[in-house]
Amino acid sequence: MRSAVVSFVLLAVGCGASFQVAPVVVADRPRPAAVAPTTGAPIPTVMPTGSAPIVTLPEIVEKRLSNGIRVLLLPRHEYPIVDFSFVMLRGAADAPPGFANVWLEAATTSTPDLSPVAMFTWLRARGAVAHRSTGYEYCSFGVKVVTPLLRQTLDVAAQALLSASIPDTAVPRATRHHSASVISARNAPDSIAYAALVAALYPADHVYSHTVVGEDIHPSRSELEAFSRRTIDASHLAFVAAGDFDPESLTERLEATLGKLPRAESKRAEIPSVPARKRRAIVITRGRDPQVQVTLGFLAPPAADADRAALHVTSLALNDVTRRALRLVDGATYGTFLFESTRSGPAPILIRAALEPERAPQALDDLWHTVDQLRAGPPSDEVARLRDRAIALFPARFGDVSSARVSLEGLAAMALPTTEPAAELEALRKVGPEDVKRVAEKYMNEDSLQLVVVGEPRATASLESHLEYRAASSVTAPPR
Amino acid sequence: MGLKIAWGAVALSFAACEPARSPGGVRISIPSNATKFSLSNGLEVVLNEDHRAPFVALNLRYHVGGKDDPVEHAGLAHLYEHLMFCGSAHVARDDFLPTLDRLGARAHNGTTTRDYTEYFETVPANALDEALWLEADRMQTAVDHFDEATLAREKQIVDNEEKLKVENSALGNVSTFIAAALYPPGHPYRHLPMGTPETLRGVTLEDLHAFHDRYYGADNATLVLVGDFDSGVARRLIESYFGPAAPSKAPPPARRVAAVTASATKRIRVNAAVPYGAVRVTWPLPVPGQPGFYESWAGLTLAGWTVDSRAVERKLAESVSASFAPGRLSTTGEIRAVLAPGASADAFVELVSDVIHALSNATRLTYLPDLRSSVIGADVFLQEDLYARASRTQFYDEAYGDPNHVMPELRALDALESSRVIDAYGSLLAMDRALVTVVVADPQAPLAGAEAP
Repeated sequence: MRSAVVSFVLLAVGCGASFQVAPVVVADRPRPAAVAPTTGAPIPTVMPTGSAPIVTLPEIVEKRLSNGIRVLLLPRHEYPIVDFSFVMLRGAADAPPGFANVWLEAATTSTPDLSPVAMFTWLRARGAVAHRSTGYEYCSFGVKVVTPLLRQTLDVAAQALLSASIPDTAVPRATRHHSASVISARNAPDSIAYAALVAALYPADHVYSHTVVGEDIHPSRSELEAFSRRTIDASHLAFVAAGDFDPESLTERLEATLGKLPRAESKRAEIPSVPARKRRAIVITRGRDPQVQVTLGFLAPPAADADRAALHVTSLALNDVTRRALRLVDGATYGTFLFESTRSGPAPILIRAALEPERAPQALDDLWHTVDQLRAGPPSDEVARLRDRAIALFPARFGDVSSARVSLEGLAAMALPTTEPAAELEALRKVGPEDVKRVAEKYMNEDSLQLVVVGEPRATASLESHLEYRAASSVTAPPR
Repeated sequence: MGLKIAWGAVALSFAACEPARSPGGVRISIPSNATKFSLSNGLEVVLNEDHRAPFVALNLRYHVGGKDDPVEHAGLAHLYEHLMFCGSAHVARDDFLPTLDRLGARAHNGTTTRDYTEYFETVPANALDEALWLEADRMQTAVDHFDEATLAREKQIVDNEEKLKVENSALGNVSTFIAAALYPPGHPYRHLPMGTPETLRGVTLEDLHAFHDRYYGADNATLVLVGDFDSGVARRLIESYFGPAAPSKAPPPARRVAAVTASATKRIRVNAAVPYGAVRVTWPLPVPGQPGFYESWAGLTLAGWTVDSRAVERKLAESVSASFAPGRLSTTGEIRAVLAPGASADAFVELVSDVIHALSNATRLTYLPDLRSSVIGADVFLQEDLYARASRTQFYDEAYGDPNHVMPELRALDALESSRVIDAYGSLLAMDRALVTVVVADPQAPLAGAEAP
């Protein structure tokens, strides 16, 4: 340690001795002595121009087990790490709100030999990290682990997934964790706004009309096991892995583990289309909020749609313009943009910002102006820059094993071919200004934009004139 | 250079350790090849090549943070960080982040902690030249372009950030109350880096210039690059762009701060409009490099695990977690619990006390090997994330003067003896050194919490 004066007195006096702390001092980092600028030449006044990015995509290995289970593998050997997932092609869209979230934890935290606590301890002793993700149309469960412990970890994870029964202890544990997520969501302004926006974008009976976290429900063990029986079969399962492994031997192991799993006849229901929604403003009052949370949303097409590449570039433009308008002009804490790629139906695109109440009316106007600008069509050089940026960022999807695993999960969940990333990249390269204008007009249609405002009553009341200005109707919902 | 560590099914070990400690052990390798040099202006540079993906993570750490805020202007370091994004001699006003966007940067931002301020970005490898130029340009010229309008705007943005992260956040005030109770008056960690509208309102451009002269020279900064670059090329670029940067004009006076070994206050109560009560037990602990640092880390983590399983089993808590935040002037260790409905805070505190007492009288620590495995797993995984690795490299360099300290750290953990960790329970982690914070659910109180008299 380079601290000038750092000391701690340690008195070890045999068995039972303690760390004895004497009055000492700690200090700031010392500066180097006798320093001066290295060169007399000032920094160049113009930013250098770098070379064009080299964009390469990794080769994904696809296998099929004898029962048809799809296996997507991305071997890479720089680090002795593997991140793998079992991808179940059922999710929040296939059950009551909140059910899939509870099920995923209850069904994957124990094996016939390891209780939830024992399995947690077993993984911890190996430095492994389990991960679970609930989506609308899929759930995933997997582990990130060092390569030498892959085989035994894979076996334990598979046992957890394939065991027919869910132990009694796993149910209250999963329900408790789920309840905590629900309570947290009900207390955070951005989560409150998101739930309201989702409810506004979709009809009440649509499977996307509730958030993935959903409601605070307490399903029984038998209900959870019934969902397992409908979900854990060869027709609804895929496997993905990225990292340091041999594809052939891993596939052999998977064949031994999953290859005998029977296929089921059932076929999942199509995600229903979303009828056009009239634009709406929803005001949610929450006492004593010092900020106003503004969220604007509209629907984007599903994964693999022909418009996705153009919307991707449009999203970057929206993000940039929003950041400028909302942060720099209106002092918003943030403006964000979300673009989902793991739904077979239309998913929301959001802009949101937390604002001081007195700045909120102006920010709303700026937000509308931003949308208008994009619909009018951004300059071609700006589109070219955004397109190049999207292309430069593309390899980050496979930049580390966990990013790669998540990307593979998306391909598996949406049943997309392994050539999809290359096709998407190629489509991105072709995006021009007219494409951005077209998709902005098509999807950021003023008639379908939904707006949610969360704040204390006086602040939201001051926004009424601005909501009336653009919104067809205004609905006041009680705080949750 | 790849250093080897051994990994066992229930324990891990290094080649030099006794084989009995790693039955069935396997070997893995963590690359640890950072090189370090200094420019004559005092700028420290650490280069760590990693060619797996065509990206480079830049992390420029100025060794100034909340601990260096003037007493009357808590939050000044954080406000200064905001202004560093507002333009410089050769980058137009507010064009810094958009320029990085155009380069394809991701994870680009800044952060201000108690000890340091970091500016970071991960850029495509082809954009390293531009990114280095951007950082060098703002190091050398940003302060000359601060103006009244920008200062006023950024104060307002910081105010709004405080509202989001503190005022309008469940238990957002609790960390502020804990810092004020844990450290004695005058201690640099007694306030949080965020600042408040009251402490920042009076900040002037002169204050910012004085702050710059003292803390924003090249000799008070460390640049770390991790990723896909050639060290020779990077070094030439760094020398060219950062070479002209001036060292600090007015080095701060040498400061000596009494080490905090026990909380200044023993118990506080906070009322907050949250659904459930909560408890935090917080200890001031040794800093990296001091005796007891690893023992208190291990001891706190193991105590957290034990408290977690017992509290959930007895329906005292919904969840329990332990955190360990090393600092230059003091490390903070904490066990946090969200209480179960109807559970008593006193019963939870008693449980923590019982666990600490029981562990201090234990003859061995069953889960110490698990802890080693967890830490090694986390360290191995972290090597993969360029941004996280760059920040961790800064920590190792700052704390130990060695950017490759990952392996010595793992060796230190591997060498930890149960008896030494048990000793820590009776001394560093004794309950009479801790601060107990009890959060009472109160629908009438602010969401962020209000300290009860």
